[in-house]
This record gives sequence, C-alpha cells and structure tokens, in this order.
Amino acid sequence: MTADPGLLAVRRGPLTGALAAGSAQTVAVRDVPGRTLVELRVATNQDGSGAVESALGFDLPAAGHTSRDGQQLAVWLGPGWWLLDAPAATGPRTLEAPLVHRLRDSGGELSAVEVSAGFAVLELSGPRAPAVLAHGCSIDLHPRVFGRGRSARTMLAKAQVVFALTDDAPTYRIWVRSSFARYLVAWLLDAATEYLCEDPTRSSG
Amino acid sequence: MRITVDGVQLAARPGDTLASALLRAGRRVLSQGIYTGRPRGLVSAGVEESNVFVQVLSGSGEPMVRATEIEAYDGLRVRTLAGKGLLPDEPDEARYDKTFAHTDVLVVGGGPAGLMAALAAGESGARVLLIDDQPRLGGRLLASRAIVDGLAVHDWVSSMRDRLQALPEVTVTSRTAVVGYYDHNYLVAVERRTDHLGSAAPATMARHRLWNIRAGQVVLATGAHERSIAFADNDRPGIMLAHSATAYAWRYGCRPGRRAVVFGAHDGALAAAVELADAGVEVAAVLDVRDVVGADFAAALARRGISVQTGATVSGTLADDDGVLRAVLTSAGETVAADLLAVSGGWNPAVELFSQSGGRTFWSEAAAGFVPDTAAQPTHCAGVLTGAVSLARVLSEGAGAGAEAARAAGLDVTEPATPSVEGELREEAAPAAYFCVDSAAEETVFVDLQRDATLHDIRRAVGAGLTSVEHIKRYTTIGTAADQGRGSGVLAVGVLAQLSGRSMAEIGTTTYRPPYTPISFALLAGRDRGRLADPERVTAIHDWHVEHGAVFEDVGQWKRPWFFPRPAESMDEAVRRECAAARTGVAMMDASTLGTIELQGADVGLLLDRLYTNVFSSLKIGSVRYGVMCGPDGMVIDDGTTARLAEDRWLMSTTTGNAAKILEWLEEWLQTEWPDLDVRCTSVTDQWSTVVLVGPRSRDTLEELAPELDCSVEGFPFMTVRQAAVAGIPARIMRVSFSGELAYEITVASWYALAVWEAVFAAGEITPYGTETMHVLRAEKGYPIVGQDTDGTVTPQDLGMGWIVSKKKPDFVGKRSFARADTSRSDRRQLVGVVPVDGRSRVAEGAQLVSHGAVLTQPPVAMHGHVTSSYHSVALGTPFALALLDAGASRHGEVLDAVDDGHATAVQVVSPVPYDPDGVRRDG
Repeated sequence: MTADPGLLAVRRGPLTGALAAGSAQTVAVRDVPGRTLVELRVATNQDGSGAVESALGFDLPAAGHTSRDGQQLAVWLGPGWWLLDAPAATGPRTLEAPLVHRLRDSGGELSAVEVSAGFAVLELSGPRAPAVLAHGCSIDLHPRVFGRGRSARTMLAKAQVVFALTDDAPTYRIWVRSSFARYLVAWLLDAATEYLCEDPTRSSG
Repeated sequence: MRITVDGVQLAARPGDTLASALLRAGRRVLSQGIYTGRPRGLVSAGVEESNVFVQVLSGSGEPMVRATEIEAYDGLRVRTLAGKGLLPDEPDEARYDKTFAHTDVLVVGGGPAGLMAALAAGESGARVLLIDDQPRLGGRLLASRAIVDGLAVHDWVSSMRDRLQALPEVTVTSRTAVVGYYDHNYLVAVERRTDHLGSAAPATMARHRLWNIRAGQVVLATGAHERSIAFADNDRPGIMLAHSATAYAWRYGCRPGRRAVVFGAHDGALAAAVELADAGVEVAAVLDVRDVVGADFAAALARRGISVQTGATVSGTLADDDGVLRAVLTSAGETVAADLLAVSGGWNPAVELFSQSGGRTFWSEAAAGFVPDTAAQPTHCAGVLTGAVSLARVLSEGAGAGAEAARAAGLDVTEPATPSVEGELREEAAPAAYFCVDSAAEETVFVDLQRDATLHDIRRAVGAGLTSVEHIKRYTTIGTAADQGRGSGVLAVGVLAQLSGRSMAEIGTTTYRPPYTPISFALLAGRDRGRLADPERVTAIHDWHVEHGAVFEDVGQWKRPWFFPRPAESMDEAVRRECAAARTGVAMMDASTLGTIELQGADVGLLLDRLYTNVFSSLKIGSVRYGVMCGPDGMVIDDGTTARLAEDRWLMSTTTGNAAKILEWLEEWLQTEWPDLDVRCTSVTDQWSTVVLVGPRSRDTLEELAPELDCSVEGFPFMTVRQAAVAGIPARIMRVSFSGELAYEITVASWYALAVWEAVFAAGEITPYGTETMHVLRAEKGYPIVGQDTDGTVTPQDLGMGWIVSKKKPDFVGKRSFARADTSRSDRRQLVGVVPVDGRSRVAEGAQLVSHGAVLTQPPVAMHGHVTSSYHSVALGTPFALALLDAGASRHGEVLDAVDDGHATAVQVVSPVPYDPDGVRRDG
C-alpha cells in the first residue's frame, strides 16, 4: 500500500507555514507534522489495557509517564487514558487510521479515537527549553523531578497541553489542540525572546 | 554619571542610589507633607523610606518610587513628588514577564544570616533559591566594619558569593523582592532586571519579572527595619534613622551631615554614633533615654571624646529658613546646633512575610520588638528577624536555619562552621521600649510621615473611645500609606501603649498583608497582553476567510467569520445577500467550531437517555437526532445533534461556546454517579472540520462533489449520516439543518478542511456566509441559541419545545424539576416572535417589553419580557425578533412596546416560527 499522493498534496497541518522563525542554539521550536495520533481510553473498573498492549506490542505507561517502542510513543493522559503518537500511516487514507481499527478490534472494553488532525505536535529543545516552559507552566521541570520519560497534561500559558521529556537535550514534545496551535507557537516564540538572541557561549543555567 | 532631578543635573557615582546622590549633592528638602506641606527630606536609606518618592521619567518610567530604591545610572531623569504619584498617559511598552520556580529551600534575604542559610542548605545538595532585594549581597554587612573569618566584610561576602555560585543547585537572584507569602509555601517575588542599566538595557530583556515560587522549606532572613522615636518637630529634613545615616556614610561614601546629635533607646544607637564619628561627622551630643547604657559603647565613644547623656530625650528641633534642621533642643534645656539628628528607637524585625504566612508574632522585651513566634508553614527564621543582635549569633542562626530547612527537605546536612567575628562591640544593656517624647505641640509630633498623622491624631482616636490598633489605624490612617506602615506601625502601637498604659503585647500589631512592596499592574499582566491576552482559536480554514475579507466575531475564544462583505458593502447588505443565497440558491459556512464529542461504549444510548430530555437509545445506526440537555433544575443548558455511527460509537455536537463544559458535564456524571456505565468520551472538536452546505440547490453541488453518494431524498433522508469521498477526500456527511433549508454538513479531518472548502467553493456560485446570516436563518425558524435566547431560567417547554421532553422515560436529568409547580406555571416567560408594527423598525437585543403606551416617565413600569435576538429578516421582508415574554405562548397577536434607552417601538407578538412553519423546505 502506498500513500495517496493526491491527499498528501492537499493536507495542511495547523502550523503549516506558520513556524518560520524560532530556532537558535539555546532553544528551538519545530513542527512535527503528520503523526498518527489516537486517544485511547479503557474502562477503569476493569483491566482493559492488557488487550491493548498486546495489540500495540508494548506496555502502556503509568501515571505521569510515557513509554515508547521505536517511533511509537504512548503518553498517560489520565486514569485509563493515553495518547498514542505513531508515525504517519502509509495506507490509502480513510476517515480513521488503521491503528484506530486495530485497537478497536483488540477486544478490550475501550475506545480508540482518531485525533491525528486534532493536535499540533511541536518539539521545544535546547538548554533554554525548560526556562521557556517555566514562563508559562507551573510544573516543576527540574531533571530530578521531571526526567526523561515523564509527561504532564497541564496548562502552558493559556492553552491546555500535553508534554513529555523525550531526550536530555532537553527536548520536550508538546501536543496542543490544533485550534490553539498558533497561539501557543506565538507564545513560545515570545517567551523565548531573550534566549533567541542570547550568545550560547555565555548562557548560564 | 549625570542624573537629572527636577530638570537640574547632578553627579552620581557607580553604586549610588538616587537618594545617596541627592544627599551628596546637598539636596535636603526633597518632598513635603501631603497635608501639612511641611518640608521633608530623606529619613532612611532603604525600603523603609517614607518621605522621598519620585516619578521616574527616563526609560520606561515609573509613577512613584522610593528614592532609596533607585539605582543611579547615567541619564536617569526623575521629578520629585509631594506625597502622591502621577500615572503617565502613555502606554507602558516595556516588556514584563513571569516565571514559575520550584526549590527545596527558599532563602529570603541576602544578609549574613541568609548567606549562611543558603550555604548550609546548598552544601547538602538541596536546590536552593536565595533571593535578595539589593543590587549586592551582604545586607547590613555592607555598612559594617567588622572582620569576618579574618576578612573585611566585602571580601567575606564575595567569598560567600563564590562558594554559592560553585554549587550547581543554588540560584542567587538579586534586585528581587519577595512581596507575598501565601499558603503551601507559595511565594511571589518581583525581580527588577533592567532598571539599573538605563539606556543600555536590552530591548529584548524583560524589565521586571514576576516569580511564582513553590518552596519545600522557607528560610526567612529578612532582617529588621530601624524604628524612630516621635518627638516635637521630628519631621525636619536632616532628621534621619541612625543606621541609615551610617549607611550613607560607610556604604555610599556620602556624609549625611557635618554636625550630628544622636538620639536613641538602645546600644545600637550608640554604635551608630561611633560609626558617624569615625566617618568624620562631628557628634555634638548623644542622648539615650535609658539610665544604663552598654559599657563597651560608652567606652568607645569616650575614646572619641564623646559622652553619653543618659535619661535624656529630644524635646524639639529648630529649622533654618528652608525648614532644614539647624538645632536640637534637649530635655536638659540645651540647644545643640546640628544639621543631622540621627534617631534610633530600636529594631522592628521585618516580620511582614512571616505574618503573611500565617505565623504569629509576640512582643519580646529583650529585643524591644515584635518577633516571630510559632511558624504556620515550613518556615525557619534566622538572624536579626528573630531579635538577634550580635553578628556572631546572626551567622550561626543563619547556618542553623539553612541546615534545618535542608534536613526537613530530606537531605543529609553537615552544618558549615560559623565564621569568626572580630571588631564587634558587645551590646549588653537592655534596650528600652521607648516610642514618643510627649509634647504640648502634639500636632508636630509625627507618627506617620507619609500620612502626616501625629500624636494629636492618636490622642483624638483614643479620646473617641477607640482601643483596637486596627480601629486606630483606620481612624488616623497611620500605616495605610505606600510604606504599608513600615515606618509607623509599631511606633503607633508604642505611642498607643504609652497613652493608654497598656502593654505592647496586649495591643499587638495590625495585620500585615501582601504585597510587601508595591507591584505594578503591568507586571501582573506580564506577556498576557495584545494578541497574547487570550488565545485566539482558529479553524483550519481561517486563512481563507481572512483572504476573502471576512469580518470576524469572537465566539468564546474562537474567531468566527461574522459576514463576508463585498467591496463597499455594508454589514446589512452583506447579510441580506448571504441570507438570500441560502434561501434561494446555495451557500456555505465554516462550522468547524461546533463542539464535537465522540462517545464509545455499550451504554452510550443509556447515558444519552439520562442526560437529554428525549430518547436516544432507540436511534438507528446511521441516523441523527436533535436533543436538548437540561440541568437538574430543568433549565436548558445545551442542545445539538447526535449521530449514531455504529452500534457502540456516537458523535455528539454541542454549541460552540459550550464544548468544554458539556464534556466536563458528561465526565462528571460518568465518574461520580454512573461509573458502572460502559461509556468513554473523547473531544474531537479539533480533529474534524465541517463545511455546511445550505440552500435549495445544495443537493446539486453535493452530487457534483461526491459522485458516489446517492443524494436523493429517499437515498439520503433528513437526519441521517453517510460516509463518502467529497472532492476525493474521505468525509462524513450529515443531513441536518439549522436554517430550515435543505442542508448538508460535510465533515473531514481538519488537515483536509481547506481543500474541501476550496473544492466546494469552486463547485459553483456558492456564497460563503458567517455567523450573522446563520443567526438570521435560524431565528426565522424559531431555533433558539442556548446562551442567547436562554439564560439559565428557561425550560424546553418555555421554548415551545415541550415535544422534546419525554413523558415515557423513567428518569433523566431535569425530569423531577418538571413536576414542580413553578415549571408548569402558564405565566412563565416563553419564547415568542415580535415584529415591528410599522414594518420597518428593528428593535434592540435586550429591549424590555412593556404594555403598549406605558408611560415610561412614571416608574415603576411593569416589564413583561425582553428581546433576546433581533435581525432584519430577508424571508419576511421586515425586521424580526425573538423574545421571552410572560405567558408569551398565549399572547400571539398582542401589541406591546419594546423599550430601549428610553425609546419605545410598538411591536406585535407573533409565532416564533414565522418562516416555513410546516418545514416543507428541508428536502429542497
């Protein structure tokens, strides 16, 4: 199966063309377009995650954490509730991604909902990334508290976001609802103003 | 460096404050009493300053700042103020931001105790944040000549700074004032980042930063403020707090006077006399209210040829022609020529933050001050704040508090050795709790300089029968000025104690409230201004709307096209054209903002039966049903359509502004009341985008775009849903209508929304329309908008929708309320239509409905209802409005007046469904 070139040509992410600026050695923001995103909820009154984990091929993370298998990432959103972030599907485009159908057919008491176009996926990275986030996020981001594999669903400035620390650059992957994406990018670039024109050789923690 | 004060240039040195530069330049009269107009000068060198405030004109400006807190820079321009600040007219364009910070141990105060606390905690590996409000660390040490660990104080402070900076988990922030201490060790601080840089301040750097700090443990090392003594004519320029005078001499290198009298009530005042003498000030007399003074100090003064007059006070002062101090009158009847009167009544430990945290204070006789008692939070106090006097004790208390805090934060601590201290005189004679030299000239005995409040005012308050210090504060205004009572609060308590014969402990202090120092609105706003004031939510088609000249309307946080004017077209004309297209041809709208929730599970039908007033469980797969949701009070909270996509998959739509609220509503019922139901909800508002295609010719357009879809009336009936490619893009199509016309809602993944929108637009002469036209179309059909035509007091029956309230269902949210007598009253406000009798006048939304011909000038005028929506109806050819009217359903045909802003328009009550009441147009 190959991707439908006609569809890919007209696809337009929430940040397509909206993220020209925003990169420096101290901090950088980039758009991660085209990911397959699925919100997964299993019944909390019974262990519904086992069937899903079999279908997924890896374990779902505990509260406040992520788990990953290669290019697939699972982020805890709430009790019995995860966001799956997988590479773009390559089959002919249907209303919902094949992953959604695979999960739905796994036999658990669960819901799998396609939200690929419902979120923008961003990456904020660089030594100043925690400082940028701290301008609008009340969560403690110190590596002792929020290390690699941690995630949070919280407010960043005035937008609800999900974010996770994916490497020690550090890089934060941020999921924000599409309609808030431009606001959030504008806010991030504004919050990074001081650091974007900073001399990285002179920056201090 | 040159600075400009009231248009006059002065020289300043690096390290100067505006105050020290003014003092060095010999400027004595710098302000005046706000009510008395008496000349005033500097009384202090720090945050306790209550006389000299200036308006900063250079840089970003600032309406009212203490001269003692402004760091001088080249090009600084200020004007002096007489008591009140002036708000500039220009908007403040400087950058302000905020940050959140978390720490194991927060140390407030960078003096000797704070430095030791930070070191003790920091060496344990704890995350430490040391916050100091001065440009340089060191606190009171900066004006001291003690030898610490064999080092001059400046060198010792530098070595401490280096040791702290070497610890990776320690952060030191200067020029930052903690202004609030709230519950759960949450503190707020203000960092001044560029004010001292003048024109060298980078434009990209936030001028001030608001710190929101969450601390595991807090060490307060906030020090103390010197307390004055009240006496006759104690407000003259040249009368200054004793340790502020020594700070000017030793820290800033400017002599506060040539010939001084020192007046005090504790050994610290004698220490100040020594410092002044050594700074080259002629100390003409030292007056101490006590009979016994510290022997070390008396001896030190004696070595300098100065004797201490014990049991002596100041009975008054004399001024020169400018009002500046020229002589001091003593209780012994002497007149001592002096241009400086250095006063020290004792120390007021800076308990403000401790009190804000909920901690209680008590009056310590030993310290002659209110000191911290038991803490209410994980708070540790150290140093002068606790009443400690000797530097050695201050240092060891600091180390102890820092170690204790780190231990409480769960770290292993080795307490650092307390540094040795040399060259400090021992204070051994007890301080006196002495506040006021009584005088017949009580109207010149100032207690609060900034409020011009005197001994006379307190005596009047006591005479009026007031006893509580809180009442006296409000009666006299003492302690309510910009210094928040730092200079006057405890002094007033002392005066009251003297007048009433009560103890300090019995009277207590007034409540300390945040902020400790003023905080600007610009800083509180931070970056949340302009475009960032609130998120602008946009749909995937937004840019197209902008390019095609849409005028936007704010709907919640969404930007929605309001109408699409053609060049030179007015709003009315555009809406008329858009309405006509929808009624007679084909038109399209971006409906992507509608809240959408996907529900999955075996019990979704059951859940919907319980939350909507009508039945949903019987809905067939592939069908759509309209529902109204009520609160437990039976009042309408939302409406919308729900489609059943599969046996256990449903798609619910909510009104645009209500999406988050309804999702929370579903979750609340599922999580708290019916956790047994097999239902899970997911918001998909952003996932899907919807293009609405409306009008009698919309079927033709859809057939063209979706050739595989059977679009016939039979093949695709009203209130059903289909799946098909539209312009080659996978889509879900619903046949629903919010206009009464034949209509389709084409839903695609949002990243294809623009492609589908453009394909539809290109398919023919299709008119894009906005929310205004949508409102007109729906109003002509009497479709209410929840939140516009309802206000939380309206039942479905009031809307004429009794048909949607199931009589058969055993229960649903709101059902019980429909059994109440009140909800079945026939005279409730009910939805009606109103049309102007003259056929021309459009009534205002919100207009009150009163009896026709009611005399508006003779209140009360009985109000029968109000207009909720009002438009010009193209279909009817006249203006048309919806209204809620008492017993409206039975009043069709009646004539009333709609009153707006005193103007009455005669209107006739009609059915709320004036257009196509039989619904024949929905099939095209």
